[in-house]
Amino acid sequence: MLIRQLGLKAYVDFPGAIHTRFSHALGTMQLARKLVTLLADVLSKAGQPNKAANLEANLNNLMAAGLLHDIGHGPFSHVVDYPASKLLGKTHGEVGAEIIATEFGRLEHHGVTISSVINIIKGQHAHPFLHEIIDGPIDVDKLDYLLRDSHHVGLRYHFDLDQFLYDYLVLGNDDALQSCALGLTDTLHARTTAEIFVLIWKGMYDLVYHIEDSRIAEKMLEHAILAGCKKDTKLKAMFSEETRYRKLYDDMVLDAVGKVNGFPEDAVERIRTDNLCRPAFSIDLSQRRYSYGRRVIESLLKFDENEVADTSIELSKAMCKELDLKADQLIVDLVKSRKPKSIHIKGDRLQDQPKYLEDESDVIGAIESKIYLKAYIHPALPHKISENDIEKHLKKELETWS
Amino acid sequence: MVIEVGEQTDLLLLLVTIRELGEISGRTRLQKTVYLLRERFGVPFKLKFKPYYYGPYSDELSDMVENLVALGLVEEHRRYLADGVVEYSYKLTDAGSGFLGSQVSVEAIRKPPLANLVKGLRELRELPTNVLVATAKSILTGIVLQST
Repeated sequence: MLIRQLGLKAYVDFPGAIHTRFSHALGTMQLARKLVTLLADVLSKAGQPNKAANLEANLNNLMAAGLLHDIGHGPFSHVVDYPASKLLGKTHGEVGAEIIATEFGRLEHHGVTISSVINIIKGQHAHPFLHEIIDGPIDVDKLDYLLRDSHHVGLRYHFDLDQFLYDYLVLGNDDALQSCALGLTDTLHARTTAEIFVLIWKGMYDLVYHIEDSRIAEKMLEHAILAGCKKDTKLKAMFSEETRYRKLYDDMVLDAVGKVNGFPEDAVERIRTDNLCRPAFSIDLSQRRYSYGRRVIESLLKFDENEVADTSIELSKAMCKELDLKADQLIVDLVKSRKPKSIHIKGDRLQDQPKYLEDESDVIGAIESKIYLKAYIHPALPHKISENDIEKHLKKELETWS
Repeated sequence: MVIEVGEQTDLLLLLVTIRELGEISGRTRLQKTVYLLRERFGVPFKLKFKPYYYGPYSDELSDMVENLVALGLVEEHRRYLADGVVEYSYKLTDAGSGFLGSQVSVEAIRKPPLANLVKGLRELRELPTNVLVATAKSILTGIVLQST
């Protein structure tokens, strides 16, 4: 009854990555405790009593936020979150907030304020630096998952985590906590470790989180769940009834989807036997300079996971029709390779305004954001489809969505 | 489809802003320009801004610009200024200009709210960045004070 931290990647590319989301949640909570305790001590000694007192007052809230920050995600994270959001009518963030409010009230007896935990996780707390401890450019979530995941997939990425925590600061005026930010000291150690941290983050996205076979398996399962829920009311109930949805785990999802005849059964069998759809087309949209209809750009503008999934599903349907294929025999995917968010460094100019790591570091400044448009085809197609055919039709679809 | 007055979205308002400026230098300047266009000139950007070091800041705006660059509609240049400070500048690519031209008619630019946007930019482009920052901060402080 496990939810693996790396979801389908643990089934497809990294069978040794059997660590669970629960172990990551515990690690994030522990790092929140370490960082907040350390920061409160440093700030208190540095004559910034308001920041220190605020952190001390929120220690338990931040630990709880670390423990519960991923609680709204289903098994296989966004693969299940997307169909669930359609069927439940709630995002994973909303599901998470409800679970925390309804299932964890007893934490109030242990010095936790549930409403503060929810506000910290959702980024709605009056003091944004508290949110940045859990979800920001150098948050404890990333500190935990980058080192934990890289260890379990066998990439020996590392930096001195304990030493790095000593480089953290809350930047800004001690009397204006609403505009303070989590950042780093302006030292060679802080900047160099932050560079290593960002490069590990990029390496993990390129080599693990977006690795191609696992990504194909994820898209196949997403399509299989959507197709299965249309055909099978029992399967649909697992995603549309919240009490049942909250109890899902990895193998339960795969078993249930695999019982629905047609594409769902075929997809799960292929995922389990490593006989996946094949990559058939891939382009970097910034290089190709296609013409787009307004709807395409609007849907990709914020790169919201659900909106992007809507677009890729709709493009997949249109492409299957254009190329005279059965539903789901061609799957369109949009993958974003992100730029790191700006990391603040304590500055010395403009009344001690912060500096940004990407301005100080050519290595980080050179990382560009890219959006890739990809297509995967079923191994048993009725006729051959060339890369040119796919591009020609995709180009037409992108242009005509207005 | 050419856009009618009243149908402006954040996407089109942002692209018109960048096109009218030719090039905008500095991420801080872009953030404050968009904020002031909304607060002082009534340009209907729907972006969420939060108080931050350099005054109001919008993660959504930052993401939008990043994605427009990744889609090849906006170009980003990184350059070193004389004192070693790095500055990012943004301008529309040919694809971005072509897209915008197909969406926003010449007539729409002459009517509100795009006319307000153009008028606002005429004023804001003359102001140094530190004045933009101070103005945006003071407006935000007023809004925060009012709401509390």
